[in-house]
Amino acid sequence: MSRFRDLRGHWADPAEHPPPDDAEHPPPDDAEHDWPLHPGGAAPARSRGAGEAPEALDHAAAPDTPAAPRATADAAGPPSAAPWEQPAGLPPAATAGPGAPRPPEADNPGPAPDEPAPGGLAPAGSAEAPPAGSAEAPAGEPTRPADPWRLHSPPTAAPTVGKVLPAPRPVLAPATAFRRSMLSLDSVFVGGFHVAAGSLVGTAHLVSGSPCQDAYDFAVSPGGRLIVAIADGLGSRPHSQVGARSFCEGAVQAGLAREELTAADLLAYAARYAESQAGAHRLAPREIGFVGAVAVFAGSRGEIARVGDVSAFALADGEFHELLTNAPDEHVNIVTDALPEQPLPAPEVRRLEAVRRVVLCTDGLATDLRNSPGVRSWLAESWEAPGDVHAMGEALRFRRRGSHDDRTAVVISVLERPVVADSPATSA
Amino acid sequence: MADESSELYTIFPVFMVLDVSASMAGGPLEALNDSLPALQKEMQSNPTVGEIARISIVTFSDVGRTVVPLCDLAEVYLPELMVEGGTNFAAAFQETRRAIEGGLRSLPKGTPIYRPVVFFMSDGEHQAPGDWAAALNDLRDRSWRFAPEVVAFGFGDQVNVDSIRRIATRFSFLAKDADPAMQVREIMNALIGSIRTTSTSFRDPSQADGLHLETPTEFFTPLPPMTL
Repeated sequence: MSRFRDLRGHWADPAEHPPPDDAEHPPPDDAEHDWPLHPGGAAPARSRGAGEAPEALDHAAAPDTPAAPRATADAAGPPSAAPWEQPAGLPPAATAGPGAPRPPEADNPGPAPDEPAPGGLAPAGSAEAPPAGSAEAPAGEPTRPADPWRLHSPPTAAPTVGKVLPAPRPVLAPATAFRRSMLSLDSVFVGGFHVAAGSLVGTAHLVSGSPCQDAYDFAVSPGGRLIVAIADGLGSRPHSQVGARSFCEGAVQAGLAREELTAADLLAYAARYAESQAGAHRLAPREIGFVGAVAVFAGSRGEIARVGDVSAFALADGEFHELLTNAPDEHVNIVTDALPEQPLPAPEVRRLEAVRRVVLCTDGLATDLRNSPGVRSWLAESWEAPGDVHAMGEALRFRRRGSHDDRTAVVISVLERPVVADSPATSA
Repeated sequence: MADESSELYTIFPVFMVLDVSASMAGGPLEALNDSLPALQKEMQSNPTVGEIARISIVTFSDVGRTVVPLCDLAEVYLPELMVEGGTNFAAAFQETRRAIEGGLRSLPKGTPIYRPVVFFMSDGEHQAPGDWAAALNDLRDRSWRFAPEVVAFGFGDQVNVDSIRRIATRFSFLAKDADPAMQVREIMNALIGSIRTTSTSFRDPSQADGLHLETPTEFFTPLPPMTL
């Protein structure tokens, strides 16, 4: 589709597309000002003031809500009072928002859901929907009994896309083994690259009490190649986070040791390594099932190999272009290939030329990038220039209706020349 | 593929196909009506279910009726199901196919969807003139873009076990409890649990094809699959 144009047909010589910051920050003598990182706290201001009125609800036009239900066979009642419809005189359930009554059986600790116009954005910190675990009741909300277990959360400029329900309390199931952090973040210069990466546990895991099952890792080899691995543990496998983590570690270890290995070679090695790690933990290979990708970059040239539905996008001129194939007609809950399996499924390989910024991501984020103009806009703005570690965390904080999977992204920026650590003189 | 200007939200379409023939009178139908608010509450309180699952309720006796078209069940006024007459499986399957086609065609083009799931439950057997195999074949036609996974539950003394096995694409169950009303409650609990688990689990390359059933053997006897 035109939205995800072929990289080769879209990108010109990188010299013709200097990084956006170059205009304001011409290359100085020292590296300190070469790639200024925008801090997370200075993310683009989209936020509406908490005291301002939320956008009006428009469920009639909500794309995910079919037209008001109508009986197809039972014509006994008047058309305006079908048995399942809200009786006259009661506000429709769809208008539940600030000040509106809620179903008596609802016991959500958070505010009533609200829905901006389709495609519209609402800052997660605004009155429409508080951020996960927010402690502040939005203005205009009915007073409810205080919930002593609601977690404080600082405000965010990250948007809320569509109507979302209050975030659940995060829980961890008893006896959870091989736990992973709920949030992992990186933002570093490494060799001729800047890599910003983040992994955020999905809402579904907060509900079920299971850990984040995504993983990523990266390193630059002695020869200057950037090795990036990303993996997504299968939700149906009890210890898939072990497989995902081991896969990423294995790919990077092999990439550091053997300069001649291709991305597909590294993927195959990493899958075997993950399987061996399963054995070391006395787990069956099936228990650690995952999908994954390995990317290798040498300057502005790269190569990506993947098995499963992790994906990669080029980010250029504020637009994302998917680099790997996606089968939009397949049902979203069915995946055909996974690791580690014998024989190894044939990986899809994509070679890249003249790249400047590439995003590797797991399916949770790739789905949002494909289907949400709001998320695309937010992340393009967030990743337009390399950001610091807080900016990476802020970028992943958006909420979107139906987006409950783990989110992991590795944003690779190819530098025109390597950036080294500050010397005492430059950092003074 | 997504349109540039519209948000496309992932949908898990679920079709509950419920027997409301005369044999359901009394406790079973009361249990059915009592269970619907629990499903609605799940939709209203659990974001991993309420933001993804879309529910349709189809009833059947002599005829099939789409009582609730595919929608966000959190936002509709729940119907009270009423007892009707005989049992016509063909009418049930024809109406279910219409409900699936109509419900999914009404979604914005490009909407990511889970494979539709039909939860069929009956305490009897087909009693209307004519065969129901053709209607079932149409519903389960794998060449149909929206061909659903059909999970069938049987309960009560009069249920035809072979029919329940034939109706299911792969998974069919008999409720164990002696009390039909309690059997209906357990079936509805299994249905709600299955919707919850499937909505929460994003991918599964196993034989289950992404469907996760919560049918504890304490309450259900799995039936061996039968191919038509």
